[in-house]
Amino acid sequence: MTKKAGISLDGVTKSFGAVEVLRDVSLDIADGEFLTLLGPSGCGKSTLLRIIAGLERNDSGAISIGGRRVDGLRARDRDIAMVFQSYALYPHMTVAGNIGLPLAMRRMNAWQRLPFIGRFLPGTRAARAGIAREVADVAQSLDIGQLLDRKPGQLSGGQKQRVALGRAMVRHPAAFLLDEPLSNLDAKLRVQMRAELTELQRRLGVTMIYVTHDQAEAMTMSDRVAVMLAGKLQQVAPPRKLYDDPETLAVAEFVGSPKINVIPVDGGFQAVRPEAMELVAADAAGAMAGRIRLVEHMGSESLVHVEVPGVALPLIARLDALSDRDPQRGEAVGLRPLPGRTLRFDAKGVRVRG
Amino acid sequence: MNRRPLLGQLLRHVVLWLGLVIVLAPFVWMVSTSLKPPNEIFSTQLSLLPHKWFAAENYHKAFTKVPLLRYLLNGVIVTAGIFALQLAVALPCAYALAKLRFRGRDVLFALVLIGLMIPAQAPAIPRYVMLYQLGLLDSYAALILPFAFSAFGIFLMRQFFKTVPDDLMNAARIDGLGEFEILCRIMLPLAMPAMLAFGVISIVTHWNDFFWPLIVIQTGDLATPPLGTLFFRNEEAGSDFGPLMAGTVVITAPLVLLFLAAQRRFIEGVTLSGMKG
Repeated sequence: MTKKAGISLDGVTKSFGAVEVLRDVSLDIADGEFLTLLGPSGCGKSTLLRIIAGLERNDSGAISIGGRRVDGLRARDRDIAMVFQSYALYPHMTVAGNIGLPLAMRRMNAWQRLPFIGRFLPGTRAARAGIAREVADVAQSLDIGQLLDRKPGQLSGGQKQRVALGRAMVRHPAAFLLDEPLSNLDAKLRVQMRAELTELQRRLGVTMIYVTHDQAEAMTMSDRVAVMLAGKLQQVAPPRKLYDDPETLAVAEFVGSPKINVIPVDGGFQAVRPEAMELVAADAAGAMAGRIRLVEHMGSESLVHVEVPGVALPLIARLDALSDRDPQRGEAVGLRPLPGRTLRFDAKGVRVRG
Repeated sequence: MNRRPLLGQLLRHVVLWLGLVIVLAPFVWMVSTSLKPPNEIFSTQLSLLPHKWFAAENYHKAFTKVPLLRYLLNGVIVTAGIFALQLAVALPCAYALAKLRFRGRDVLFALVLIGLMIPAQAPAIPRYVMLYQLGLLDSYAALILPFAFSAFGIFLMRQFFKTVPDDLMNAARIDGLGEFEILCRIMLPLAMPAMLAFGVISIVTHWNDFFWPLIVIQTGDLATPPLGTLFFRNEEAGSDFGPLMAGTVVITAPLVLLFLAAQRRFIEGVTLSGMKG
C-alpha cells in the first residue's frame, strides 16, 4: 500500500495582514520520511502544516505532494490525513463513526449517505459492510477494537489519540500531518506514544510531517528535524547533526536542554554544550575562573551553574553522576571546554567553521 | 446546625414562593374560572374550587361556539412554519458569521445585532404594505413570511457555533466534507440544545402573538389561538368568562407541555454550555 509521496515546498510565503508568518520556506521531504517541524510557539510551524494540508492558502510558492502540484486543491483532494492537538473527534459520533467517516465520504454518494433513506439504496449495504470491516481492522491494529461503540466523551486522552490516528490511517493517505499530537497527554503516556508513533510510521512506511515545540519528541522520533524560528527554516538535518553541528547560534541555542553555553568573544560567539564543559580547578590552564551559583542534582547527572565575570548568564557544566567531584555552592572553580568541542559563530550568529 | 444559613435559606424560600405565587396566580385563577358556572364566577366569595362543577359545560361550549380546534391547528401550522423557515435562514447565516472568513462579515454581524434591537411592532406598517402589494394579506403566508428572518435566531446560533472548535471543522474538511455537509452532519447535531432553546422561544413568541395576526387576518378560519379568543368574545356579545377561560386553558396548555418536555435541554441551550474537545 505504499504510494510515492514525497512532499516538496518551494518558496512558500504567508502573511496574516502585516505579519509575515512564513518567509520563503523551501523544503524537500522524501517518500516515507519522518520529518519534524520544530520551533517555539508562534514560529509559523503550525501554519506551514495547515498550508500543506490545504486548510490555509499560501500567498506564494509551490507545494507538491507525490510530484503533483496541490496549491490549488482543497484539503480533501490532497490525499493527506491530519491529526490535531485537540484530536478533533466528532463528539456526537461513535468511535466507529469517527474512524469510518472519511471512508463513507469517499465511497458512498450523497444519497447513500442520507440517514434512513440511504439504507434502502443499492450498494449502501455492501459499502457500509466494507467500511465497517476496515474500521474494525484499523481499530484492532491500534488496540481500540473494544471501544468502537463508545462516544469520544467516554474515552481517555490516550484512547482519543488512537481514535484520531485511526481516522487518519483508515484511508491510507499519501502522507500524515500531525500537529502537536502528544501535547495533551500526561508525561508518561507521551513517552509511550512517542515510541508507538515512530513504530507505526516505520510499519506503514508513510511520509509523516510532525509539528512540535518539544525537542525531546523531535530528537527521538525524526529522521530529520527542520528547525523553524520566526517564520524561517533555520536548518534541516538529522537530530544528531542538528545537535552537534548547528548552522546558526539560534539553532544551537534552541536545541539542547539545558541550553548551550554562549560566551561572547571578539567578533562573535563561542558556544559549548554543558556536557563538553569540564569542571576544573580555578587556576587550571586555559580555564575560565568563576564561582558556583547553583548545583542541580538530577539523579543521573548534576548541573553546575557557574557565574563567570564578563558573561551575562551563568555557564552550565554537566557532571556525570559517577564523577567523584562534589561541587558546593559558592566554591571557586574553573570551566574549560573539551578540546575540539567549541562551536564558533560570527557576530550575526552564523557558524564559522575551521 | 448553624442558625444563620437556616435563616438565609428560609428567607430565600419565602422570596421564591412569593415570586411563584405572583407568577402562578393568574394561571390558577384561569383554570379555576374555567371550572365554574357563571353565577359563581361573579360571586363575591373567593374560592378556588367551584361549589357546582361546570367544567364539562364550559369546555363543551369553548369547543363548539368557535372552531377552537381549527385555531389550534392554525397555531401549529404558523408556529411550525415560522420555526422551520427561521432555521433554514438562521443556521447557514450563523455558520457563516461564526466560522467562515469573508469580507464584510463583521458589518453583517453588526446589522444582525441592530436587528435584534428593533421591536417587532416597528416595521409592522411597511410589512403590511408589502404584503398588501404582494396580495398576500389574510393568508398563512402573511402570518409566516414576515418572521422568517430572525435576528435573535442568527445571534443565538452564531454564539453557539463560535464555541465549536475550528479544528473539528478542519478535520471534517480533510475527511472530505463540504461546507454544507459540515453544517448538516457536524454542526447541527452539536447545536441541538441551542436549536431547542431557540425553538421554545420562537414557538412561544409566535403562538402567543396577538398583534400581528390581528392586523393581517380577517377570515375567522385563519385565526391563530389568541386571535380566536377575541372572536370568542365578539361572538358572545357579553362576556361569558367560563367558556372563555376554558378556551384559554386549551390554548395555553400546549405551550406549558412543550416547555416541560424541553425544559432540561432548553436550559442547556440558553446557558450555551459548549462542548470541550
